[in-house]
Amino acid sequence: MEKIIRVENLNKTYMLGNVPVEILKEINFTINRGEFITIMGPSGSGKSTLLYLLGGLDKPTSGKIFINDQDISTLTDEEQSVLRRREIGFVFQFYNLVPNLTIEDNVMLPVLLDGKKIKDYRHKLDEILETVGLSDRINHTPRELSGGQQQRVAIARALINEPDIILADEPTGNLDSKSSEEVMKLLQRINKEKKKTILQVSHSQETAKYSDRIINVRDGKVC
Amino acid sequence: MSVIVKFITKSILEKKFRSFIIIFSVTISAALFFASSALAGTMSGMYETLIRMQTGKADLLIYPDRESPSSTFKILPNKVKGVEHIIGTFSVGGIYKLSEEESQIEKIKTEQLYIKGFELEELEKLNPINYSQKAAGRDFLGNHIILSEVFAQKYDYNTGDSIHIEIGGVNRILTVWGISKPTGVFQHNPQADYITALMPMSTLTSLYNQRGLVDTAYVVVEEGYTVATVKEEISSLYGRYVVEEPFTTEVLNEYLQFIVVPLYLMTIMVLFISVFIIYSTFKVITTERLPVIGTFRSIGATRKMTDAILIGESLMYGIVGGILGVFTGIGVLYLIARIMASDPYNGQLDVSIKFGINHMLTAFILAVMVASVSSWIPISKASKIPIKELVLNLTERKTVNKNKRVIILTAMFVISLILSFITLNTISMIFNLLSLLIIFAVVITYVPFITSFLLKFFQKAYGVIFGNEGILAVKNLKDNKNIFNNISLLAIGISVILMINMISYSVGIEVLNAYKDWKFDIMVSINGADRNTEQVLRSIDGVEGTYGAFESFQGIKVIDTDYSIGYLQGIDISKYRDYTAFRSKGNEELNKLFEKLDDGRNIMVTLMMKDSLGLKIGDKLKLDMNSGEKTYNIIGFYDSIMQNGSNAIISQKYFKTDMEQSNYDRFFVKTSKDADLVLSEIKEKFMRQGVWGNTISFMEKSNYEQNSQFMIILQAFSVLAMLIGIFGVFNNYMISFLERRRYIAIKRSIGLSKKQTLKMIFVEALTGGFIGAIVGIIGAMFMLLIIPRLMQTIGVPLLIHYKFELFAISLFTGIIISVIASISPALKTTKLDIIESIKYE
Repeated sequence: MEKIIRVENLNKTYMLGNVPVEILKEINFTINRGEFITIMGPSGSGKSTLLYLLGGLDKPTSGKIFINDQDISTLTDEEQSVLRRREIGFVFQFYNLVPNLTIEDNVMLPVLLDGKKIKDYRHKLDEILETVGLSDRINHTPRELSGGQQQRVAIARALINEPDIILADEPTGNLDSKSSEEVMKLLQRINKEKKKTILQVSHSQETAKYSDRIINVRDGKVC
Repeated sequence: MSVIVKFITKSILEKKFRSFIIIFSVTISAALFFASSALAGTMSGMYETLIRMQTGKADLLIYPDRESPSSTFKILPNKVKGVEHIIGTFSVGGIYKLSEEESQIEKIKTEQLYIKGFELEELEKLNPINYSQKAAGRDFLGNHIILSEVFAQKYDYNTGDSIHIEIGGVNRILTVWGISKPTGVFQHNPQADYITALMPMSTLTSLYNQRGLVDTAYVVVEEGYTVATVKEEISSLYGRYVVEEPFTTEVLNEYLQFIVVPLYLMTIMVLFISVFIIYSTFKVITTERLPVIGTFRSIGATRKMTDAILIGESLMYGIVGGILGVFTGIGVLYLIARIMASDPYNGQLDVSIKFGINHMLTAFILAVMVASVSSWIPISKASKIPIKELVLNLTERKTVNKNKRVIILTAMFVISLILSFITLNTISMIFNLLSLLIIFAVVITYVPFITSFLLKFFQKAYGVIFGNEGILAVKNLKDNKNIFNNISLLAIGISVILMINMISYSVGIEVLNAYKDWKFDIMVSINGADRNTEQVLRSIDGVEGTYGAFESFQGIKVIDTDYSIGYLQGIDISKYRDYTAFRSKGNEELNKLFEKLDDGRNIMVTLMMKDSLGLKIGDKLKLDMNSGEKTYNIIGFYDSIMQNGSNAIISQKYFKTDMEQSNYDRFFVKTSKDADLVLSEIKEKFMRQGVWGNTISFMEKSNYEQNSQFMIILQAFSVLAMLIGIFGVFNNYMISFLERRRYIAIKRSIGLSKKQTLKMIFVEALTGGFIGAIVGIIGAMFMLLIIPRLMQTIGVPLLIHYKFELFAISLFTGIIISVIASISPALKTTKLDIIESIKYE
């Protein structure tokens, strides 16, 4: 199996005032292309930090992270931005949509940021909105949608540039059970049909059952 | 209570820049109001000091005018109740001929002296001399003279020296008895072409065979008596002479109105910008304070108590701004007084500012009012939020019906504009002022619409010019309240500064144009000038042609109206147009109109006078002239701003009869040589007769300087308005950054690089600045439509000339300010912690 993510001896330490706090300690694991992984652990275990490090939103204190065999910990800001645009799609717990933009604008943001022409992605937009079931909400703003619908917009945004990897930080953490199920089924469908590698952070067994494999993190270590 | 005060103080100190902006706006508003309100008194005091220099302790002056039987009179022996002293003076002209050597240095052949005759003991009672040298042990009499230090230093004279001075055509050898500092009666005006000297009155009157006579008398009123009572009695004694106070505030106040009204207008504009800044800042303050207010309410604080926190904060700003405003105002007043002190016509005034506790108190109250009234709407809105919403942080600002507001404001603006055009003077002034203020509100209300409209065009263009970051910037600008606030602030600031600069430019052009209308080089006035004088004048080398003008500046009253014609000319129709450009606005051919002037009591008046009195051709004007009431028939109109547009022309023939005048008032002289040289020749020729004159280029320069002085003050006011606006823009960008931090982080998380962030913010700032400047220019255009009407109501004609460069500068300024203001928040975004900012909810 082709390894899409490889983590080697990863450490992350934050300074709390003058006191160093070790969040992640000597993390090592690999993820294969097309896998659906859940990173599980209690609050404060370091699972979200791990996800942000994998997404290039933060830099490790030491160790290496390889995405498609490229060490992302050495990338410049510009290169990391390109990585987040093209190879990674993010889904957050609080959806993180831009409230004054329409659904179309929100989904198209990564296209715009990548310097591509919107008109070339019109067809792709229709297809993705069809997949997430929001074709009829294209001109609405996030405020006019329910939590579940907003999270589906976030998923559509993560997919627009066709990245290999989707990173989801507690994607159902802010949703009711019905919406949670819809979102998880959608992520599972994307994983199966579009062959996307998905890594979700969760502390819910209910959502973890949709994944192929679980990585448990406790006190900053993979166990 | 102490907890609340502590909380308010901490809140103010926490947000230093925001607190600074509010206090700065309040301070400047209060300072400008203080300076504007105290300026009339200060200027009036300064002019009084200048006049008092000459008149000393005198409460009344007695002097002859055209109606008087003689140019001299006798001080009557009658004892008038309440008169402490009556002191007479007799003044003549003297000529000091410079030696060859002096002449070469000074570039003049003679120095004109204004010799005042006083009995020294009497003058000491009225206006003591400040000696720098004085003869000891000898009385001031006979051929003694006291020179001014200005003269003595220039020509090196000391006490005891002999000096040759020509008085009444005869060369006299005098002895320098003393030298006076240039104060009191020796007060020297550098612009004047004479220097004062003093001789015993008995000597001077003897030389002119006028022994026992005076040309002016100074009356000092005894303590316990009113000037009015004494004036009445003296007036009856000296029936055919003028008896008046040396200084009357009425005339001066009318003149000062031209200065004070525009200053008040600028103050109102600055006030408006301050109100807007405080209002928009308090919207942010109240939003920020909601959780705290919720906490206070949940632990038992009443609505009144929580309101007191916010009102207390605004009052604190008002009080601090008020105190600082009064002190800054004193400085501003001093600066204005300093600039205005250099009067090209009356000489340098001594700068001393005058203000009272009432000025300080009103400025302070205004500061407190500005702060509390501007913050009241956001505070009252916050106050109405239910406690549950506050505690659960469920508050969302209700959207107001903007369309309704736009319709109401537009209607108000159009109505007041129309009413200002169809109503007369005072009411018109009120509507004009109202329109001017509504413009600001209209600008602010229209900003979102204009921005959305322009952004539609920009979106496509930006895609090409700036790439996708450009498109993103346009998307960010839509519905961004902080950007709208920025655009509004920029627009108001730019409109005020552009308006002032355009007015300043227009006034400059008008002054140039007014002088261009004069097709001659020298204007000269010679005592008792008749046809013979004109002949002599023409014989002077370099004089190419002359026009003898019959004019009256005394204010000819139009009977049955409040109007007085400021400048009436009796013209010689055959030559008048060779010497002045005449812009007729009648239908008839000008030659025929001019001929008609000679046919009878016909008159042509200016367009401004036509508007003020609602005149039409064929109307009759009854004028109060020297020979009595005369009725003139209106035959035409013309365009002129002389005497602020209050002028009229009649035939010379009828002027002479009706004004009972046979001598020319002035001569307009065309020259074939350097005008300054010719003027010097003319002055020398008519020195004994009494001559006053200036070249047109000198008059133009003086007028331009006088206008510039005032315009500098107005420009400084407009710069302050702009400065408040700029601080507001800086603050808004920072608020905007704080509010958008999370959304920028979201974009960063999905691939926006630092470089792209900077580019996006730069395009946003560029666009915001551009739109702000465009709206500002539109606002200024509307203001420039109203201002001339407003100025007309206070009797000042103003024709606006547009200068393209000023528009371009405004546009450029708007963009630059906006871009500079965005630098700090833009740099902050590059240091943004994406994870922390995203987590923020």
